[in-house]
Amino acid sequence: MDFALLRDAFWGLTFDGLALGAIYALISLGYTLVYGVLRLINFAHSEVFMIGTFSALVASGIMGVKIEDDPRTGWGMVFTLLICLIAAMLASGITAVLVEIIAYRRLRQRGATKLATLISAIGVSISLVELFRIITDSLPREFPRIMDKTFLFSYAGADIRNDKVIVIIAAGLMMFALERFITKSRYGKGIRAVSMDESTSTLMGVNINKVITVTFLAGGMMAGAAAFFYILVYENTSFKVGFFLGISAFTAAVLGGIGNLKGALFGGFVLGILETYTSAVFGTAWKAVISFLILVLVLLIKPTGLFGESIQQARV
Amino acid sequence: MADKKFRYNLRDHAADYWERSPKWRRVSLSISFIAFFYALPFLNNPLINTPGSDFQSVLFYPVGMYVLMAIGLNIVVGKSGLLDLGYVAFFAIGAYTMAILGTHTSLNFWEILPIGIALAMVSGVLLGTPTLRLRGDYLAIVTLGFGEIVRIVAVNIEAIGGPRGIAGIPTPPDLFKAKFTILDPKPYYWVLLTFTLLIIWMVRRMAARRPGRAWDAIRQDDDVAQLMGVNTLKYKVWAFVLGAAVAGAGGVLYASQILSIVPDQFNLNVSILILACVVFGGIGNLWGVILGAALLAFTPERIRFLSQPRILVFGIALVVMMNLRPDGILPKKKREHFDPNWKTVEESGEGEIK
Amino acid sequence: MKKIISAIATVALVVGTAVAVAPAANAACSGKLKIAYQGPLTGPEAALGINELNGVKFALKKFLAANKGANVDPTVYEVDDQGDPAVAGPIAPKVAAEECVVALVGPAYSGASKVSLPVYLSAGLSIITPSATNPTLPSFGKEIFHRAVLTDDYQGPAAARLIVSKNKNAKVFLVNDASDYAVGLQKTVDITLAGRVVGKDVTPTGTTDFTATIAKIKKSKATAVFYSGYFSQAAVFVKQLRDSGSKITFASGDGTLDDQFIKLARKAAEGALLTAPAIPMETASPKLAAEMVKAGWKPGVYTTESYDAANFFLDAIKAGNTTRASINKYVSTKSHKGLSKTLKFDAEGEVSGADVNGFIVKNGKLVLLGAIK
Repeated sequence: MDFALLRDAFWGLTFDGLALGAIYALISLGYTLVYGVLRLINFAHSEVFMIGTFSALVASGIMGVKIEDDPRTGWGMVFTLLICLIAAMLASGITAVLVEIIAYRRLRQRGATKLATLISAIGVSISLVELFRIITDSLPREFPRIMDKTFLFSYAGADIRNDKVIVIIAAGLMMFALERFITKSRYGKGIRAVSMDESTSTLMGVNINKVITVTFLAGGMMAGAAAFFYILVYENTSFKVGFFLGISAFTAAVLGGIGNLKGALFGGFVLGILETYTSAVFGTAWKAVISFLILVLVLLIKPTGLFGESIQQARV
Repeated sequence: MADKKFRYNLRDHAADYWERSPKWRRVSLSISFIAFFYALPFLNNPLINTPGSDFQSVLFYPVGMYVLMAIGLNIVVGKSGLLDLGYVAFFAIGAYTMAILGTHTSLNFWEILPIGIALAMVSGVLLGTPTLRLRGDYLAIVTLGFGEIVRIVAVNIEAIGGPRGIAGIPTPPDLFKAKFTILDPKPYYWVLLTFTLLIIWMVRRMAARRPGRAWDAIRQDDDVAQLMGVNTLKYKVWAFVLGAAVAGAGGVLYASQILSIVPDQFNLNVSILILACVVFGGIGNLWGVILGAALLAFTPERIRFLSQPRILVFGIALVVMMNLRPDGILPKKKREHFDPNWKTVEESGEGEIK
Repeated sequence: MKKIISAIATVALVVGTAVAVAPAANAACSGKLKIAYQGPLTGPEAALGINELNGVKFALKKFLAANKGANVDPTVYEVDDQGDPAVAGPIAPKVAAEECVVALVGPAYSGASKVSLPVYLSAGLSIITPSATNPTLPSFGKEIFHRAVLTDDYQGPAAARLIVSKNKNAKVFLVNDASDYAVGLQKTVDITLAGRVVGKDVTPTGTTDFTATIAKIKKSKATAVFYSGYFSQAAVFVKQLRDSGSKITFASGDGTLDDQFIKLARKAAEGALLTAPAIPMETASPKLAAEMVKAGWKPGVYTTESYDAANFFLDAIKAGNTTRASINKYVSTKSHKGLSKTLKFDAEGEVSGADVNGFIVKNGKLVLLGAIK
């Protein structure tokens, strides 16, 4: 145990933890949205994220970025990054909608059990992972450095790096936009209505299928944004990437209270920081163990997560 | 919602046939079935043979072992409705008990077996007592975490081999002239089959009695069951512990056959695959679960000739099958069948305004 | 109606049981001899297995082009164990039962080897593994076991010497990825470096964020870091290390010796010290590597060793050996001048007289530093 390291490098670890947490938070929004509406864990969501990373990669290629290129500057860089972000969000959003149609819709309409739907989603997840494994020859892929990584300033021994600042701020903005969407827009109201009471909202004229499609689309687009930020910071991806991040993001969603947007946001940041701290104190090997023990503790004290589970109180 | 039209249900048909059969026919049918399964390793039929892997070995692992574990997990998921995503942990505990005691003490397989089962049960109690108070999906993530923790701990502790695992696990001593060697999986298969039959007998007895009714009540509505005086936590822990015992027994036997184990074998995929077996076959129905497990374990070996896209085909088959038969291949008896609405009362209650 | 069904069912069962007791027959090999390759060809570890399989395929193709009419099947008998002992369990007996499989290159991983070797030993099937480096493997069947690479017991000390030769007052931080291979390799590095090790951390496979590990390295004031693990994660790690502003020496073992490492880490890979009992195809013979790419197979780490292993077996067949026993005798006693080294196995099946090579990454290329003394 190395508490001295935590003390000495506290602000640096906190900052890096926040950046990681922002990515977790964006992914966990997808779990939470789907859970809020369907009361189901979307097991294929990690693959929605994985497809986002590959789409950003393909988009950078289409934009003419080469691996060996020097980082771009000025508006050219901003434009390239935006295109990659949009590509990732679109691809992930569409994938999520397709997942719903393939794995969920028919089962839902036939009134199948939750478990049947779970296995169907797992089937989609396995298929997507294997498909990408075959496409990529089981090899990881690198993402070109479009934006140079520089240290903006130092605070109490913490080096604040530009890409991580962008991730934290952009993730905050994304979530703010999602919150506005859920509370203000027509579809957002539909999502909240369905998550409150499905049959009554049908009676009130809510088109369930449309609402569910929009839910998956929104969750998928958030995962796509997360995928872009992930690839911006870590600059690599592989067919396995969804599995490792998916479990953490799912943990984050439960930690915050699954079905609750605020919970997903908070849970993501808390888990990101927590993982970084526990890696420093107990060693990276024990990270997952400690995170889970903390999760169990939280659930025992507050059985519905830190913020309770309700999408209706969607506030960021 | 679910279509109300009559659909042919093999499960109901077979059950009716069984109920209307006189005793002599039941006995002779049972005996021929059991004899058939004991003779299965000798069956050299091109239809069910496995090109690319040894048929007799496949019968033991994965097919037989998955069937055993699916029956165990069915007690937890199918009978009492608790979603367990870390079932592999108990299998690992059984296997590690066999590996550690087998290499460090002079105990033989038959002496280690009860210890392995007991340790799996104890860990079931330790995990179950605090966490089974949690509701459905929260339980899923906690059990998932437990499964991963057992694996990570095994990787991180050098004293039990770390990532290198444990090699040189002894085989069971000879039994009725049957020699247990790495080359001949048949005796292992027969022992496994005997275990499985015992467990089937045990589960059927239990399902018809008080615990079975308690599990039914818990699965359909936890709160109401509690209100009616069922000690829900007690029966949930019992289901959990029994499931753990089955996996523990499987783990001990598996380790004594494979002779060396590494922690990475006991990963999340195994838990998920066993769960898939349970749901695929027909959750809650013992025969369906057995059939589902046998099919899911067997298919990847049978289609080994497909090479690269093998697992992809498996994944697609899973989606297609679940879409075509959401209740599994052999669903539960229709007359008991609690028509599962998309949301049960308990589930839709969770979404209320707080 | 019911009676008819029950009668049919009974008959079916009886017939089924009768068929069931018919014994399985194993025919002797009457066709062409087969060379098998065993390793992970699907699943998360598949990259390494495909590298090796390509080496075997390439060797076989060249052999058949040079020896038309040789009684060898032109397709490699592929055994996909996914690098997983549980999967290897039921496959090994099947391979052993295939009479025409007379030699096997693999298994790629030590875990799968431990399960497979006892089976191959009893079947007398000769194997040469191109990459399983666990030192205990001969105890699972030294009669048929051969290894075309040096074990971790050689590579670790060599890696330690390489670091010290480049960095006289090195203070080293050790990182491993919690795999069987990485832990074993790190142990031997640790022993040789002794007092120079200033800290350790374990970053299990799948770790994406190395912030805490890097904070530890900085705090330990280490001047070098030895990463024990595979290339994909090593690339992520070294990139984050460099992005954090650290310029200390980065060193790693054969798991990282892959073009993919340089491709993934790019500038961050510059100056990295790598060791391997293996040698990349491009270094061993640029001509053959180009020829291989042309034939549609990409060489990677351990492709050269698999190529050599397959060629040794093909030598044996060319010399007129057609049975498992005689092929095993041939590779156990004779030698083969391969691309990577001369294969000559001792009583334990270990290769002798081989070197551990040192490499440095310079201008995006892997440069051979030569054998480490």
